[in-house]
Amino acid sequence: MKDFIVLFPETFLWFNESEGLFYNSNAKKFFTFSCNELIHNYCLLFNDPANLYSVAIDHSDKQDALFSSWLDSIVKYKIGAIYSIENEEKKPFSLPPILNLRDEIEEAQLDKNKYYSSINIAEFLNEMSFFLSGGGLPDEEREYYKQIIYPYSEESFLELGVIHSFLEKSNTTHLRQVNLICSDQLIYPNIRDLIGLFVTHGIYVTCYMPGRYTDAFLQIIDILQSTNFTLKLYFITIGDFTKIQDYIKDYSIQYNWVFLIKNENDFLLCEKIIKDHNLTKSDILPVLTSRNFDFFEENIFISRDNIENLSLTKQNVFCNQSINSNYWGHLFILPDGNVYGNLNKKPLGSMREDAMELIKREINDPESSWKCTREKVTPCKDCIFRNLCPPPSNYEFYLNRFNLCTIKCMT
Amino acid sequence: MDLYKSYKYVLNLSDTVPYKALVNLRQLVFEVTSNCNLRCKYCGYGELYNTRRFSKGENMSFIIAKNIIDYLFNLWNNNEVDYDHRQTFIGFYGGEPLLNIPFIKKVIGYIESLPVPKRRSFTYAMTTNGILLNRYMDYLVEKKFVLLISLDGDKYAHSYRIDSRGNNSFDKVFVNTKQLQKKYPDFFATNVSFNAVLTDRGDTFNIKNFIYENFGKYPTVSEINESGVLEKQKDKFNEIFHSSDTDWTNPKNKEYTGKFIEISPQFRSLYNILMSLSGNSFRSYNSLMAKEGATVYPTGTCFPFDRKLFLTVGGDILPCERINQKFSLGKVTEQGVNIDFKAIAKKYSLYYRKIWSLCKTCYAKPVCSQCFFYVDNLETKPVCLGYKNKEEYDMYIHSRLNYLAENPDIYLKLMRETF
Ligand code: SF4
Ligand code: SF4
Ligand code: SF4
Repeated sequence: MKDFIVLFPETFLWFNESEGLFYNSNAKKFFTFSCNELIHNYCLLFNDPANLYSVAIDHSDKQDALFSSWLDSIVKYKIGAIYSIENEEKKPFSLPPILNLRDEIEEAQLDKNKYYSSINIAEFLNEMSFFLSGGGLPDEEREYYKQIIYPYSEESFLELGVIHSFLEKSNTTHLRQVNLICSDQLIYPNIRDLIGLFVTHGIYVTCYMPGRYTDAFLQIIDILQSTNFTLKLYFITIGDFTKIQDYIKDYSIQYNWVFLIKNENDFLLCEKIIKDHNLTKSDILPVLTSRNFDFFEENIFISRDNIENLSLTKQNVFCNQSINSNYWGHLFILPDGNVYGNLNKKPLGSMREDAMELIKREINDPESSWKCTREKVTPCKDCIFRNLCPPPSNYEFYLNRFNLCTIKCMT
Repeated sequence: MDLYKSYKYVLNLSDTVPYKALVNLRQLVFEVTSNCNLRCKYCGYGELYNTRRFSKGENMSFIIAKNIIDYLFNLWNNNEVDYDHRQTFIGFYGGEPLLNIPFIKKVIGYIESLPVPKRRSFTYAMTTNGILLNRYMDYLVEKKFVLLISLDGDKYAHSYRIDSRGNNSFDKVFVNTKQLQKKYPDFFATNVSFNAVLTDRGDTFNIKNFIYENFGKYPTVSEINESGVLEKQKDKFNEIFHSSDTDWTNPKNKEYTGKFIEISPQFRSLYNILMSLSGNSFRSYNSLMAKEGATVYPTGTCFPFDRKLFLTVGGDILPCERINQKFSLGKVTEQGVNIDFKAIAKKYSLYYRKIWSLCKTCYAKPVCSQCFFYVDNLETKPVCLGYKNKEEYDMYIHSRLNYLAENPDIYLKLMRETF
């Protein structure tokens, strides 16, 4: 008789020399463990695809108390099972969850100069954010646009003709969402034509602007009321909020408020407004300032509990392994015509170029934000939670610090 | 692994599917001529089969080719392709296409006289028996053709490929191919491949090795088509037919089955099972973020025009050259092109409904790669040889998984493979 420990095909395993983590993507539960040399060796054997997630248990190893309780936990938490087999020829096996991603395999196998014939770049243009006009922001807000969708700080203007020819040049058959971000300093002169352009292309538009009762606001309301597009308004003051709420109720417009949270007070105020006005959908977005890192640390950092509640499927884990789903397929265009894969990085190029070329640059770049997974950044790449943790966010790119979490890895 | 994965199957095809497939067309293939300078015993147009109405001596008229080209260019110029770049292959098929080289030159000349539609390029392709290669190789090289040469292996293996006087064509094809290799070595290296037909006179690995030793390339080796054989020709067919499985399972071939494991039928069917059932396989980066699964249609039949548009010498439009002419999807005449997308969608929806009477109780559904055009009595009471009840399906899956257990080293290869 020989015993084999076999992990289930929905189990993921990540480990380093001192600790490890099993994640059962069916039960959506993980358990972490400490590694000694023996457990580490078993993990290495599981990690060899040719073992098909099945490892013979050496009975003498069971003397090791840590190992023995590790085995018990594997069974108890339904991570795997132990099978006793008489005929070793018929050893049990399973299928380790190794991703077969056609795009990725073709990308790796084919000649760099030719491979785009088999990978469809047009599929990757899903969302575009146009910063139509900027300016008029207090100093503190000048870099918010690098963290969240927020008006650009410099006084400037994106010409309609330039947008038009950029869209004409590019292949937009897979573009589903466009965000138009305006300041309310001056009315964007061609906003009606621009929105009309997206109506004809069948692309969904969301307009972002400060929630102030200005001429720009009134004009946007007038244009959007004949569409099913969404307006997002940044909360500025309670006075503006009340005035706008009162005005907008006569229009059948899809809109919601965006609350920026810098500290506890902002959060309490936002909670109160939402409750008092029965706001069913609002965006609550934390923003980093030069003074509120502590607030972030206390309230925003990812905790073990957060990860525990993520309920990731196998597909979600594969996604975390391969791409950054926060930014994948999203181009950002500043009023100067520069196009970015991420506003915390250098531009990919300008609107004079074909968006397909810009996307090729993004996904070919070893530093690509679209492909920036936790596996690629320090210290996450050595952390056992790296494929469960949400992909790096703009707060992290902005700070150039990739572990906004309360989890301490043992490495 | 979810062995009995259940999808929500859809039986109604929208007319936008063939329309979009034509906008994004990968291959336009002309059956240039019904003439052939060989009389291969197993030819799909020959005495064994009922699949094609094929009168010898017909050449495709240029006006028919021009009409479909004009139709497609108009479609391409008025609809944005779904790709950043679409390479469309213009294929020339026969009979033996090189017997009608004036047509080929005229078609290519015509295509090259038109402005290239946005985000598209054209590559010419041809399947040839090689008999006339010596005469036309300069032109094929000049136009950067992708060339598939039919060569069944050594002289004996090739001996069903005979000329009108009954002589084996091997020497002629071999010499011509050598000449091409010598005169245009770079072109030969990048643009030429081989296809061999497996018969009772050949063996998969002998064929592969012979062509590799002589030309430095491994051919694809295909069995003779089992579908559409005339009842009265069954004996003759059985005499010639050689199943590749017998070569792959023959212990004397152990050295080769290991070497070519990635193209073995077992590897391929295991691959198919893992891709369909393991939950580890995704097509594109975008599909990793998809909220819901893709729409699933029964069988493994390709959507109309998804692989190609095959135009017969008489102007019938088919989804590929391998299926019965009665399944024509439209017609090109000297007067114009008739493709009715609604009618095509209706036809496929009807076929889906017909075959669903079988598929709904078939356990092989989640791994099915059966083309419904190969199912007997599709339009009346279909009979599918691939049908599996639970027991048969379990046996099939377990035999493939056992193959994996015996060859655990291939698991990583399988998960790093695309076909
Ligand atoms: S170190 Fe990185 S991967 Fe690990 S929990 Fe923190 S943020 Fe997540
Ligand atoms: S045989 Fe069937 S599935 Fe294959 S290309 Fe032809 S029509 Fe499509
Ligand atoms: S094998 Fe035949 S019956 Fe079974 S699902 Fe495929 S087409 Fe239907």
